[in-house]
Amino acid sequence: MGVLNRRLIRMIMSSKGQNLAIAMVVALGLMLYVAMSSAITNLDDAVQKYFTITNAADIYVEIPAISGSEVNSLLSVSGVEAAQGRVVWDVNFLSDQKADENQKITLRVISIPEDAEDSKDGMIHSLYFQTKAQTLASDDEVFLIESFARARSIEVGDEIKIQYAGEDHALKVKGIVSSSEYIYLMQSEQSLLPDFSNFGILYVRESFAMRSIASNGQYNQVLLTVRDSFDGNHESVRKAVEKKLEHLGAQRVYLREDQVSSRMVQEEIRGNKQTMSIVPVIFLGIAAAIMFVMIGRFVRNDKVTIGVLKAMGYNNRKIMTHYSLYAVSIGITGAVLGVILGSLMSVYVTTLYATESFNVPILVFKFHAWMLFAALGLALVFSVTAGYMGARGVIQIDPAAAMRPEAPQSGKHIGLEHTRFWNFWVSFTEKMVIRNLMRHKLRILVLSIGIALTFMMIMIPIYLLSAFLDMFEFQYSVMQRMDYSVSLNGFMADRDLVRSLRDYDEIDYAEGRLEYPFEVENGYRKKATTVIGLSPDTKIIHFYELNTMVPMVFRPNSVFMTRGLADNLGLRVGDPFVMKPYLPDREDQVYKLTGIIRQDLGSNVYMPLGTLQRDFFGEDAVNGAYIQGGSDVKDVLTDARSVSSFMSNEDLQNAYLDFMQLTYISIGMIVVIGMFLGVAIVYNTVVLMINERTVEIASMRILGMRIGEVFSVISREIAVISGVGIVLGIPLASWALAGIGAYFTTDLYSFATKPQFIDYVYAGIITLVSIIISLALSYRKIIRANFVDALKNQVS
Amino acid sequence: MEQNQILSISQLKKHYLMGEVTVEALRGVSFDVNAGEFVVILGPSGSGKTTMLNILGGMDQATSGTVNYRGEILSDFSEKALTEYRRNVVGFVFQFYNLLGNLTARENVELATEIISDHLSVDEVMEDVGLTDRADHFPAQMSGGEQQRVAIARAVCKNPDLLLCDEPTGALDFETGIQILKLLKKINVKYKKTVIIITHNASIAIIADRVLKMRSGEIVENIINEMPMDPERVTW
Repeated sequence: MGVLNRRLIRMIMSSKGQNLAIAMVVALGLMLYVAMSSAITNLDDAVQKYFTITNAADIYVEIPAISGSEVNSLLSVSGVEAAQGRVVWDVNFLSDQKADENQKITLRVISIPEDAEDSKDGMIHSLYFQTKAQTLASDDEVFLIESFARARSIEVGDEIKIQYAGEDHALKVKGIVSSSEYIYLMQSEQSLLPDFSNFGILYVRESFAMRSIASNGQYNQVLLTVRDSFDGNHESVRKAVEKKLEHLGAQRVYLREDQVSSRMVQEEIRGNKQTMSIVPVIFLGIAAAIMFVMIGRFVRNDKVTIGVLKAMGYNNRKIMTHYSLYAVSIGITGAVLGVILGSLMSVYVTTLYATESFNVPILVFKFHAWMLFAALGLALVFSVTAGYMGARGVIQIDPAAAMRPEAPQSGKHIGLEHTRFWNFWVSFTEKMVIRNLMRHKLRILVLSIGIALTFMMIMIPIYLLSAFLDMFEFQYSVMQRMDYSVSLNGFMADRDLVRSLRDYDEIDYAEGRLEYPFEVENGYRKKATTVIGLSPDTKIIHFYELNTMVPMVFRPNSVFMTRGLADNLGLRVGDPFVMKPYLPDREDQVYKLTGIIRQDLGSNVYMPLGTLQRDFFGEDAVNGAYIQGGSDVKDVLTDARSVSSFMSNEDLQNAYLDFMQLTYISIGMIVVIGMFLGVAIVYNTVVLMINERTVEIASMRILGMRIGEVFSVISREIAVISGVGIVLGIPLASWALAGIGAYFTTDLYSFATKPQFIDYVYAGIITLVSIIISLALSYRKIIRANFVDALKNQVS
Repeated sequence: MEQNQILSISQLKKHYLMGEVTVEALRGVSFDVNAGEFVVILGPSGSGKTTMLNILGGMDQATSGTVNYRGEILSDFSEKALTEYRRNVVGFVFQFYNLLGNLTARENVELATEIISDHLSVDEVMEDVGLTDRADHFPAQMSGGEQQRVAIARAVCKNPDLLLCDEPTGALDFETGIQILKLLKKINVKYKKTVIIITHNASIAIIADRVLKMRSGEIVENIINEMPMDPERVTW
């Protein structure tokens, strides 16, 4: 090993804590990158493979009724490879458990072709069996989706009961299955979260479905696959199918990417991929910035050594390589640590995906060697750049000038010194602090930016936490004030429904509602969404203006839209748009948008009941209701035959709070990581300051100042810089949060919550704690420093 | 340039900025140095000695005038050529040793030999400077005299043509200073190196073959010493 490399190792070892702190910043960034990217790649690969091996549908058609021959006719559409009709209907699961007494448990019954055993037979969305593939020998045999079976401890051979149209059916579970159609098991987009014990999928023989559920022996859904060899895109096939089925009236034809489960998975993959392209850059960028400053300071402090090396005949490249290697060594150490920790963590994250979030039975942990190389490569690029940029100062050092004693730095009085205040009220040490601050503006700026970044990193999770809570609070307490949201089996007269519901003592208040899917169009932009019709004097839904939170009055001519939807369609208040119903024999209608509302979860159009009834559904028609009442309302709703399903606000809130438990842990981790970053930034800067000012600090000690007094000078400087940093951090964090809000706003979620004053206070306090920790760590440096040596300055 | 001459300095001038002040360090210095000579440049602080040494060593550029090393003009050298010159021709010894604190004595010497193919044996030079037993000590564990020996070993080991010493005894006590002078003389004789010492200590002049006296950036006297004395006879 060369002598300079030995020196390098000793230099690194002499500042272990400082270097480890930087290496850990690199390690954290790469750990998150490797863990998440690896898990996401595993998920993505497994999902794609799962789609292939289960012959997943490319296009879905929802239609009130379609015959087998009409289904077959879709094969003539260019690009369509296979078409499969099926019957899909939600029924009640009858539980004999006491805990489920007041629970509406829904099973979605899906028919499977009689001759389909597995994908070899060409079944679209063929079922995935954990063990050997099986067939349904009789009508009373069913397959049950694995998540529901697991949540309810139902096993093969058990008998389950369902209720449909007032009739009970006892069915035998022949097999437990998974489906690529329900990787993320949600009843609908409105459900927001999976609820494995209250919603599941039941696969039955087609003959049973046709006999017991289907209307007139017809299908109500069609699955289509597109030929791999097809030249055009899937959208063109979707349009052709839509056109082909036009004569059947109502229909909803959508691609796999718009299917709820597939969309949730793709959103997760997309979001994480994008986040993972930013996270390591932030961490490595911060580490590189610290290394850049550190190497720059090293070079400046090592001026005489560099002069000596040059005097001996070392060239610039060799000396710069020596200093750059310092950064590279830290970067590589961090990268190796990050890759090891990330690989271990990716096993955990992949397992979490496989068991808690998504049902992809073929999802297993795979080690991705390319990711390790990518991580190492990233660390190398950042550290080489930081090292090289930091060491550039070597070129400027003239060996002769380096040997000469440095001329005193030019100094001048600061304006404040001519004031009475300065002379009478400012103590000697305070004067030192102020002068130091005024004379090292660049140092203050660099450290302030570091603290501002720390503040931002800490503010982000704090905001996310309060935004998640506020999002739910707003949606289910401020905007929607019902206790139950009820869906009916069909349409009813509003007056009759409300009267019958209000007859129950358990129900305090009820109002009818219309809820139906429409295609909303603005020029070439179109979006399928649920339109909700409400009474203009609704007491349940309260609308608020998006930015100001001013209440908005819902008038008989109001047409309100959620922000995400309006943005997607490029609509502003006053713009006209077309509503195309998924209903037979109904004309498209044009409406004018009268307001864009705040709604954090889901996206909808809200219109007065009268308008929807007049234009589409007939006088007084409703298909749902909002109810206010206690927990005993569940009994009433469970027994009501006209009720297809209902959602309890309390249950939703409990499910959400359960979900938040995991979020708390993740957010806590991000806060700790943010604090760690802060400590790394401040600690390194303080240590650099101490190293640079050893002569000044030694002089203070020799003048008789105690360690504590010297430390208080530095602490007060840091306190002022921290204040500047936090003040700078406020707009920086606000800017970052606005970006995050815009980035994460989709059809499903909208981050309308503004950061609160208290969020900033919390972030400020945590930032200060991390600064205090760094100061406490650097205190040891002052105690241990040998100031007599520093003054002797005999060796460089 | 005569065949025996190793250096020929002509009308050398140097101005530089020190903070906000322009320093006229050299004001037209001219002299020659023969190969194998032991030269002492004498002068008080601020007379331009160190500046001249730096220019002779290729560490600094003159404002005007020439330094001719074996027929080559240093001011014509590119940065790369100057580095090669410092690497292969010159060995420096500094007043404050300028050892690298986190390298041992031996490593400080090896640092110089690492970039030279035709260097002297590190062990032999360490023995010559009497530091074989202290080779694995760090500078902070050594006395000033020992540190200066390491600095000399570091310079000599490169096997340079020129050994340039900037106040080599300036930071040392009398006894140690004499030891260092004896060492430099020994190297001058044993390895036939041209040694140029700059100092403000006039007592050292008696050991030199040539003495150049400087004042205010000029050579005021150029004395050939026909009878250089043994360093043991130096007193101050």
